[in-house]
Amino acid sequence: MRKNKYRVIKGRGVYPGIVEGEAIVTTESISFLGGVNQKTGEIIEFNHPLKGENIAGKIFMFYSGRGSVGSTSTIYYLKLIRKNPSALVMVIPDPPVVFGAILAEIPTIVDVSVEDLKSIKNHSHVRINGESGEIFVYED
Amino acid sequence: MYLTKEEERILNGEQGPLLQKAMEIMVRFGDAMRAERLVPIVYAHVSLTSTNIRGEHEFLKSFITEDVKVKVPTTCQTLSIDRERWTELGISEDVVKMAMNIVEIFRRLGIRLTFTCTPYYLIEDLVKLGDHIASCESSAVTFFNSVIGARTNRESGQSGLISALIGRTPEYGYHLTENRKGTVLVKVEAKLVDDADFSSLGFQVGKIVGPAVPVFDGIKNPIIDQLKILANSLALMGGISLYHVVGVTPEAKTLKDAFQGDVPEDKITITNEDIERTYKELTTGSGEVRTVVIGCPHLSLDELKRYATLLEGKKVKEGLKVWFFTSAGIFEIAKRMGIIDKIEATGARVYRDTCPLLMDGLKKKPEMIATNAVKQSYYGQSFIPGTGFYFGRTDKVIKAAFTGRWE
Repeated sequence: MRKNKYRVIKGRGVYPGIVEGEAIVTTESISFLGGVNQKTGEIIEFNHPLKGENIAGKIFMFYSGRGSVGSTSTIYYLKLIRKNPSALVMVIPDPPVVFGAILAEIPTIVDVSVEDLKSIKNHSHVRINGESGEIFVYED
Repeated sequence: MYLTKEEERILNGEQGPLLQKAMEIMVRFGDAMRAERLVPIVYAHVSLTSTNIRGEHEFLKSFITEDVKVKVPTTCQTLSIDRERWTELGISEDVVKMAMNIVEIFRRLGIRLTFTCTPYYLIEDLVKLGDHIASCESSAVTFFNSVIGARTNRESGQSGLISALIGRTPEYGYHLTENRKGTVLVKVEAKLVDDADFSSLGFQVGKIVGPAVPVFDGIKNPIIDQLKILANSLALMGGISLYHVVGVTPEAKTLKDAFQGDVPEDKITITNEDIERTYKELTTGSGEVRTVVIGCPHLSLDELKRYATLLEGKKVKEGLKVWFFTSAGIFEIAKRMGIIDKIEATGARVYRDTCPLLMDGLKKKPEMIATNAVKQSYYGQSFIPGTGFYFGRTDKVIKAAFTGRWE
């Protein structure tokens, strides 16, 4: 059980669903196709600050998508093999990432401010509401 | 998002559950991208044809559960096989089986089975200035936006197919006039003498400006195939979906038009040294050439004709693979005109529907590949471990076909 102490950050919900769990957080962008292992969900992008972390089953918070439209396929495939992030939170909605999230029915929030994203520590415990766009950050 | 009566009917399931699902996805996506409405499209170009990108074939199989047809004329992207000559390309039977399964799904959807990254060579004047379309394949996106002046975002295979099925796409990004404004002025001082120079130009500009809308000033009388090559390398290195060439492309009659009356956010200059640098940066081989690749993006009829003339009467070096790539549509016409026979009489081969970057066979053993196409050299280096690349001007690449040496 977590303490009740939390703060709320607001974004814009684009795919509904309530998810609670561990957040993997970066203010960098990510390329899903080539940057995330398609079989495991591990971040493998060269020189990425989160290289080696795994986003499967985690609430993945990042700046935006980068590079190929293949992100859609990667997110869709990760969902098929149940290695998908449980929710996505980003600052700039990258179309192929957002499209992939909608296809894969992953609760997603966009338009979070960079300052808010920066304020969330990696591995924090959070709850997100993909309908209202609210992010509850629990502070220990 | 505002929906028309017909769109609401599709959303309510009046055209079946598959289109209902397709419309639901598009409406959610449009809302996410802050589109105010869907716009009808006149054409779509769809990928999902590769056998080696996970999530493409799986999507096709699980999404297309009923007998539906695309609502607008739709072409499709390059396959992983040449249907008639796959054995000589070292492609396995498993890949052929999977590819033929994709062909069958596309045939049933009523998609034109073009299997090419240059569909615009095959659709005549179907797409015109100002038309809304939905295109996959980054180089085709940039070509349609820039050279034709049609309007498309960079679609993924999945979003492209769903747009084709409902005949609409959300109105955001490059569908809106204000986003088509030039942002960076590129002064071209370099002398562009060869097709490969357009590859180099796009490579350097893409690297410097990133996903901007570059406006080129100083490119004189380019031919359409060169604008295609420029589109390809800009998309590759900069994620660029739209560029203008002053006095050449339709939305840039003048410099002022290209910037929609505004001032550029930035200015850069490209010199001969910048062009030369690309040839050095993308050459990793050391002397010996075993394969020559020409036709990235897929060749036009005019390009094939020019290569036939360059090769005429000569013989490629024994044991050397000299590969040209085009679409089946262009191949068929070129064959009738005697162009294919002229090229193949030299020992070179012309392949249809496919691309070395999609062929599994090529990845099995390292090669020494010479090419005048920047994307082959750039991607090939990460896709084909141990392979050496030579990137150079056309005359040098053709010479390598006869000598087996890069010099």
